[in-house]
Amino acid sequence: MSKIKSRKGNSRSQTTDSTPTIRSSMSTNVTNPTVEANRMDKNSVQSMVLSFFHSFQQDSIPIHDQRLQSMASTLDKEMDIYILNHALSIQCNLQVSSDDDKDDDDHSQSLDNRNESFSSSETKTISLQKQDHNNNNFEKDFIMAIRHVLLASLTFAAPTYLSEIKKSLHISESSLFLQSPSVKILKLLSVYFFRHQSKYFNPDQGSVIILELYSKLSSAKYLEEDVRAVICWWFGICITQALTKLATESRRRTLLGPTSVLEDKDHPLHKCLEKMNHLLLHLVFHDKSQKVRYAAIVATCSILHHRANHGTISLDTKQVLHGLLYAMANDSSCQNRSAVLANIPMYEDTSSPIINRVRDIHTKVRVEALHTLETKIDVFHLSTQQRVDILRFGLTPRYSGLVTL
Amino acid sequence: MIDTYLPFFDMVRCNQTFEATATLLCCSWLKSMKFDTIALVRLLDPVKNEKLCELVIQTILTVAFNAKSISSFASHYDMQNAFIDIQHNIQDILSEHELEFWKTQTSQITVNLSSNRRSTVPEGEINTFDCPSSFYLRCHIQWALKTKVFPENYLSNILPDVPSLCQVLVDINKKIQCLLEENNADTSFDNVEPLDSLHDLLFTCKQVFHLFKFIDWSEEGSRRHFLDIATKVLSSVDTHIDVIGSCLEAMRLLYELDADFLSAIENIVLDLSKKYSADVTQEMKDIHCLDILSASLCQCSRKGIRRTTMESLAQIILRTVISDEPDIREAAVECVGRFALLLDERQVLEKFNPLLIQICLNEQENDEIRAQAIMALCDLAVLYASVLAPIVVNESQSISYLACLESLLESSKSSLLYVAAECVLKLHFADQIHDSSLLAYLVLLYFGHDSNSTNQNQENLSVGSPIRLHQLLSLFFPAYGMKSTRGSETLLHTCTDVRRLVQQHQLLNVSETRGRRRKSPQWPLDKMLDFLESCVDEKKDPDKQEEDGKSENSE
Repeated sequence: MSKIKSRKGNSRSQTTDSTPTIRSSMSTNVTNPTVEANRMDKNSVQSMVLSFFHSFQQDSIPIHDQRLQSMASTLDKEMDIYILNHALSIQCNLQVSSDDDKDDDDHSQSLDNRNESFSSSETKTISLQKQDHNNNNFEKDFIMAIRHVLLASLTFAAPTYLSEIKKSLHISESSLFLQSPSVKILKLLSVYFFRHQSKYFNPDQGSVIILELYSKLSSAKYLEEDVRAVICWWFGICITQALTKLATESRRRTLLGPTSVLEDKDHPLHKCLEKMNHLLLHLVFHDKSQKVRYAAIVATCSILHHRANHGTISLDTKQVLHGLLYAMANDSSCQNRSAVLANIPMYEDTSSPIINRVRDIHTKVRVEALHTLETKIDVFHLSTQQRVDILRFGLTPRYSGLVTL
Repeated sequence: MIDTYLPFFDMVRCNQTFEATATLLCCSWLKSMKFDTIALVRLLDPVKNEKLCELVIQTILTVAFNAKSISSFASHYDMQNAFIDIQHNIQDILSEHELEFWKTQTSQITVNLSSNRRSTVPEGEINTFDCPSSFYLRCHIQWALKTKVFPENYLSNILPDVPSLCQVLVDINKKIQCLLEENNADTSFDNVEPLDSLHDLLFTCKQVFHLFKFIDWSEEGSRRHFLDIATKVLSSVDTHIDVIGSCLEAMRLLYELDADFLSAIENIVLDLSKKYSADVTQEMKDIHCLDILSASLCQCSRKGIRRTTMESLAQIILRTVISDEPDIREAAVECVGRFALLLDERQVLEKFNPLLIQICLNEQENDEIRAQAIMALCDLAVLYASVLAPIVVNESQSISYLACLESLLESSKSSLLYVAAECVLKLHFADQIHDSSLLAYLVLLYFGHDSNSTNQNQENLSVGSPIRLHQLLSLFFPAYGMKSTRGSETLLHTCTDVRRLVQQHQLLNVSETRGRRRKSPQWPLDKMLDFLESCVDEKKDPDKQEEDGKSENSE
C-alpha cells in the first residue's frame, strides 16, 4: 500500500473532542511528542508538565495555576533546585502527613546526592505538616506524581541525573505506590520522559520497559475507565517514541556496520510490539468505555502512522487497518468514528470507507470525513464514481439517492 | 424567483455538511484544477451526472460571486449563513492571490468561450465546444439569468449568436449520424468508445438546443435560420431520437400558439412521408414520423388546436396502428395515447377508446404494445371518467377497462400484472374509482413482494417493474387513506375483500400442493389487516375534517 498524501498546512485542530478532561489535555500532548520527538525542548516539556497537572485537576485536587505556571516557567538547566522547591511548596499546600513522607525523604536524598541544599530544604518542608493518615492516599500519590514528572523533566535539563531517575523508578516500583492507578500513570509518564534520553537509549532496556507497560495494560480492565484510557494513550506515545528512536538508531547503525534491533526479528522487542498491538486492537473492538476505545484508536493510529512514515516495524498493517476501519464504520460513538477519520493514515484502501462516512448519520462524522478528504486525498487519486459519491452525499439530501419513480 | 432559483439549495442535507462539501469543492478540488471549473466538471462526468454537476456549478458560482448576491435568495432556506461561513473558510484557506486568480479565471472562461465562438466555430471546429464546456456555458447562463447578478449586456457577450450555434448543431448532428452508421456496420458492439462518444455528442447537442432557449427570438432572420436548420434536422430519418426531442423543445419556443407549432410539425411529417429515397424504407419513415409526433404532442395543450391539423395527424397515426411491424405498432399506440389526450371526450369515446380496449384484450398482441394501450387508457380515464364505462364489442358482449384490469390482476402470471396494478393505483389516487376488490389485489401484491424473487423476475419481465410497484404502493396506501373520507372507507371495505382473496389463494394452494408434501405458503393476513387499519387511523377524524372544510369554505 502506498501513502497517498501527507497532511500539511492544516489550520484546523486535529482532534475534535470537546470534553475538558484528561483527553482534551492529552490531545495537545499527543501531537507534540509524536511530531517533534527528535527535538524535545524546554517549551514542550513545560507544556507537557502543565497539561499533565491540569489533567489531575479533574480529580478535585486543588492546584493553583499560577504556581504551576511559575514552576513550569522556571524549567531551566540551572534552575532544577528551584523547581524542586516549588514542588515541595505544593506538597506543603496539600498537607501531606510526615509519616507518608518518610519514604519520600529517603527517595529525595538518594536522588540528588550532590546537592545538599535540595535535601535539606525538602526535609525541612516535609516536617511542616501533619494530617489524618487515612485520607491522604491520593494526595500522596499525587505528590509522587509531581516528583516523577519533575525528575523526568530534570533529565532534559541535566542529563547527569539519569542514574538518579533510574533509581527513583526502581524505588517507586518496589515501594508503596503500586496499587494506585495514578502512580501507574505517572510511571508510564516518567518512562515516556525517560525514553527521550536518546543518548542513553538502549534497545534491550527499551524492550524491557515496553514489556512492563504491556503487563500494566493487560490488567487495565481492573482499572477505572479514565485510567485505562490514559494508559492506552501513553502507551501509544511510548511505543511510537520508542520506535522512532529505534529507527534513528537503526539508520545510524546501518551506516556504521552492525545490524540493528529492528533488523533482528528475533529480538524480544518485536514480540512486545506485536502483543501490544493486539491488546490495543482488542480494546478498540471490545472495551465498553467510549473513552478507552477512543484512546486505543488514537494510539493504534499513531502506531500505524509510524509504520507509514518509517516502515521499520514488522506490523500486520492490514489487520490494524481493518480494525480501525471497522471502528470507523461501526463504533457506536460518533467521537470515536471522528477520531479514526482524523487520525487514520491514508492508504489506497481507506478512500472508499472514508467516502462512505460522508453519509454517516451524525453531522460531526460527515464533516470530519469531508475534512479528511479535503486535506488528505487529492482529487486526482479518486475515481469519477468516488468524486460523484462525495458530492452527492454531501451536497444533496438523503432521499435523492432513491430510484426516481 | 426564489422558487425557481437554486432548486437544490432548499433541500440540502444539513448546513454543516453542505458547508464542508462546498469548502472541499472550492478550496481543495477546484484549487487542484487551477480554478478551472470546466476541468473539474470534466472529472465528474456530466453526461451521467447532469443534475449533480449542475448543482456543483451553481455552488461554485454562488461562492465565487460572494454572499451578497445570494442573500436575497437563500434567506428562505437558511442557507445564507452557510454560504457566508463557506466564504469565511475560503478566505482562511486560500490566499488573496488565489482568490483573485479564481475570479479572473472564471471571467476568462466566459471570454474564451465567446472568442471560440467567433474564431473556431464558424470553421466547423467544435473540439473546443465539447461536452463539459457546453454544459458549463449552459449552466452559467442559466444561473446568471436567474440570479441577475450580472449587467444586462453580460449574457449577450457570452451567449453565442444563432448562426454559430446552428453551425455547431449541424456539425454535431453529422458526427452523430456518422457514429450511428459505424455502429450499425459493426454490429458486434465490442468497442465501447464509440457509444461513449455518441452519448457525449448527444449530450452536447442537448446543451446547444438548451442554449437556443436563452436567445431572444424577436429578430425574424434568426428565427428563420433556426427553423430551417431544425426542419432539416427533423426531416432526416437518421436523426437520433434524443436530438428530435431537444429540437422540438427548442422549436416550440418560437411559436406563440400550439396550433401553429402543430401545423409546422404536420408539414414536416407530411413532407417526410411524401419524400422518396432509395435508401429509406417506409418503416423507417413511419417510425421517424411517430417519434416526431410523440415528442411534439408532449409539448402541446388542448387549447386552440385546429381540427384540420388533428384530422390530418390522426390519419397518419391510425394508419400505422395496423402495421405489420411490432415496433411501428408500439410507437403508434404510444402516439395514439398522447394524441387522444388532446381530443375532446366525444372523439375519444367514438374512435380511440374502442381501439385501445381491443388492443388491451388482444392476447395475440405483444405485451409491450398491450402495456402501452393499458397506460394510454389509464391516462384517458383520469381525464374522462366515461372511458371507464363498458362498451359493446359485439352485439351481445360488452367489456370495460376495469374488467380488463381485474382480469389482468387475477392472472398473477401475466407480465402485464404490474402495469395493470400501477394503473389501478393511479385511478384510485385520481378519485376516478374507489373499488375495494381491486385494492385487495394491490394489498396482496404489496405483501407478496419478495425482493429476491422479484429481482430474478425483473430480468424476465418485458414490461412493468415489481420493485417500482412496491415503492409506489408503500406510499400509496397511507396517502390514499389520508386523502379523503371516501378513500379511508374504501380501505376499510378492502379488509373484507382481502380476507376473501386470501382464502381463495389458500384453497388454491392446498389443491395444487396436495400430494406433493409441500407446505402451502401462508399469507400474513393479520399483518395485512393491521396495515390497512393503520392507514385509516393515520387519517384525521372525519367529523373534524368536515368542520375544517366548512370553515375554509366560509373564509
